Amino acid sequence: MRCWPMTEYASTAHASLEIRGVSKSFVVDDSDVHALSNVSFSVEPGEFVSIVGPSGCGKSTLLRLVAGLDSPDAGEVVFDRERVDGPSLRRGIVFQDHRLFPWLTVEANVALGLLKTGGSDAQKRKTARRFLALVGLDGFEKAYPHQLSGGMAQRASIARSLSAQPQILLLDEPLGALDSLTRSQMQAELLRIWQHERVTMLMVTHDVAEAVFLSDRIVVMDRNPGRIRGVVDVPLPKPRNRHDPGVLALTETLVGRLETAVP
Amino acid sequence: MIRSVPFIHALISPGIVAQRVPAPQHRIFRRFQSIAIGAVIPLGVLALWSLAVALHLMRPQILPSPIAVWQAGIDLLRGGDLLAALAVSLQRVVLGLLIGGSLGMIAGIAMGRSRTIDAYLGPTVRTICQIPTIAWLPVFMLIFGIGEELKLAIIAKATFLPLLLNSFAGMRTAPQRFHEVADVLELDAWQRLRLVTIPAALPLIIAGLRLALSNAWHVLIVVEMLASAAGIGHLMAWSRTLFQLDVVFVTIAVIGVTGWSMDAAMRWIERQLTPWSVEA
Amino acid sequence: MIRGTARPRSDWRGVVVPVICAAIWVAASASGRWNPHLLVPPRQLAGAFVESAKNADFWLAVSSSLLRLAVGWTIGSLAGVLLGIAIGASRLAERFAAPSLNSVRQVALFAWIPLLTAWFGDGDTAKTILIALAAFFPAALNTEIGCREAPASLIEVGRVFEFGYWARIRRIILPSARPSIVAGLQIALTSAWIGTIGAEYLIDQGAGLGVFLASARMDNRMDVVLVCIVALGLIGFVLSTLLRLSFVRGAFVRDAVLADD
Repeated sequence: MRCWPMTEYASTAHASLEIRGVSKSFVVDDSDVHALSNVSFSVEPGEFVSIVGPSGCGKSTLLRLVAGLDSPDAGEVVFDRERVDGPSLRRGIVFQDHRLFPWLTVEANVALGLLKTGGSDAQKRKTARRFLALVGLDGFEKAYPHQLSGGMAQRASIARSLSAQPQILLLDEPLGALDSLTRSQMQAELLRIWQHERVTMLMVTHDVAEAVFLSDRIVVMDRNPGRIRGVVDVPLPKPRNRHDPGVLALTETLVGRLETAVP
Repeated sequence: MIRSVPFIHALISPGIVAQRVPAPQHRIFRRFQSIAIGAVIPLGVLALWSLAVALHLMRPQILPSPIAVWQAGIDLLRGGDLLAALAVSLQRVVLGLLIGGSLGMIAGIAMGRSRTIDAYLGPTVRTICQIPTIAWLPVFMLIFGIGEELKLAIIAKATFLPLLLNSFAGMRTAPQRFHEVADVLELDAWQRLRLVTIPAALPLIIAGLRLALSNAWHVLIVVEMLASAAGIGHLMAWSRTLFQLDVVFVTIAVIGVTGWSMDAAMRWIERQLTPWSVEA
Repeated sequence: MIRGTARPRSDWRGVVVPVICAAIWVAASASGRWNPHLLVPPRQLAGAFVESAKNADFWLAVSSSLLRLAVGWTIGSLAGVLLGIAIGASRLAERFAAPSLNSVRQVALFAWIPLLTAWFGDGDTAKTILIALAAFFPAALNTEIGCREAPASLIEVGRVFEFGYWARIRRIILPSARPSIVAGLQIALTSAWIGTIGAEYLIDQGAGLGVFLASARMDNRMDVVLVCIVALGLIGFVLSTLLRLSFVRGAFVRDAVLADD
């Protein structure tokens, strides 16, 4: 049984992600859709990287490949110097729909990430509570998912993924289902959580401003076929201000680039 | 039933959008209003009935007066006959449900989890589905005679199918997205069963239980009318033979009320055990 | 999703269980250890089929039942659909009628038989009323649901175009309710067929498949009982298939409703 110390991700130093020449196609209505074509990039430990691009550029597909929920037709995904061969607790993933188990309380849901760790039930409850407090949900341990708002449920989902202390956290448009007010709040939360836990995070989003607000680097993708157009560094200091001229300028540039993309 | 909400604006606090909140008095009034409207037809029927009796439109054996029916009901209750009959009937239902329902659930779960078992048993089961329970009655009567075994057998049959079908569907129902979460969380097969498959199946299984209970009650009445010396169906058939229509009316009402109560109890159980599905 | 679903190939495995059961049946009845009245030997069962097919009374029974079914189902589902439209289209009507309807629906169908025979005797009237009752509730319930769930968005369009009450029903509510109504009619047919056989079995007078079944049981003829059961299952299946097909092909309801006049 692995037992990570509370806030140290000991081998994070070596757990980098490498995507090498990955391609994936689907057959939709008798024609081939090249969701991804020869995509390569890497993510260093502790980074916050976002993937942006128009819809259909394969960003979600790419994330699922990293998670191990699907496998590439060509190329490989290497994490912590091992080939990714299936889903694993070490690569946690937060989906757009929170996917909390409706029949479990919030606390029990978060504790799902602790099933594979040692320790007594009391210890696990304590750990679950700690993560709930981290995401700002203390007091809601005994609530059921259907009693939570969208933002709260998503936070619980993040807590669940984090409780397993993954080496990388994948986020698939985590804030896409939330209204814009909640989304802004959650972006700040996400940043705070990242700064606190220092987990490597790889996030897919269609919201460029969100990406600029949160990321150290931004991977810009294009579609038909899905491929990388470029990777942009965001050297601005964190925590960032949405209205900071540097942030705004970068956002504008990226949006402009995406808009001139081939339709 | 949709109640129209009166437009009473209550400002929660400045700057927040005004919300329409019905004042408590209005809610009580609305509730009373719904009950009153719903009662119009039953009261009307009651009025016509009393009128017909008062005008001697039909012989009292054919159309007993409402009072006679009420009196008959009280007498039966006091005499203990009614409760005794009800007890016998309910006992049969519960017993039959335990037998048939658990067999059905086990079979349904087995078929749901194993495609192999489903391939072998599925077509046979689905063909047997086509034959209504009541058609089995003569066959069972020949096999089991007219004793308790007959009642248990036919109730078991009536409860077997709904639970089988619903358990089967329930096992197949946990959406793919929950299984993906289970994948990432590296749950083993037992944990997956305990934490994903069975809870997801529970609402459907309970729905199957409700249906089974309703089926069982319906079938039991028929069996008791035909081949029983006890139970509420027998009470009804016997009083019909004696042309005591007031008792017949009472038994009809009791059958209806009991059926409704059992369903209400199941709905309560559903809310308790699977609170999330009732909200959904 | 992307995962391919295996195409369902014709699965021979489903035949295994029936074949095994048939084999056991043949072996057991041949051994002579079981009561031949209960465990009817296959040959005798086949004989019973032939015997019934040649029996004029049997066909008389079947046709009587079908006739009763036709009358009862038509009356019951027509009444049910009309009431369902009335309740589904008008909230007020629903508030008046729903509690009463739901209460009456609680009473098991066959529990009405003693009352009906007391009032109408053992003849066709009581049976037909029961069949109509059996058809009424599913038809009414499904029609009501279908009408109630007519999309509010379309009704609003109707209001913009100033549709009158009847136009609203004819042009918006009925067409959207059509699938539910059809489903209700199908369920009503199944219910009504069960009601037919049940009523005949319980009342045990006159001609009908249920009566035939009852006498076979009383004569201890398991073979004839089984023939009757197969017959009624078959008829039920054929009827519901016919109904389903007639609604796929002949969209007479839709045409009648959408026709301009």
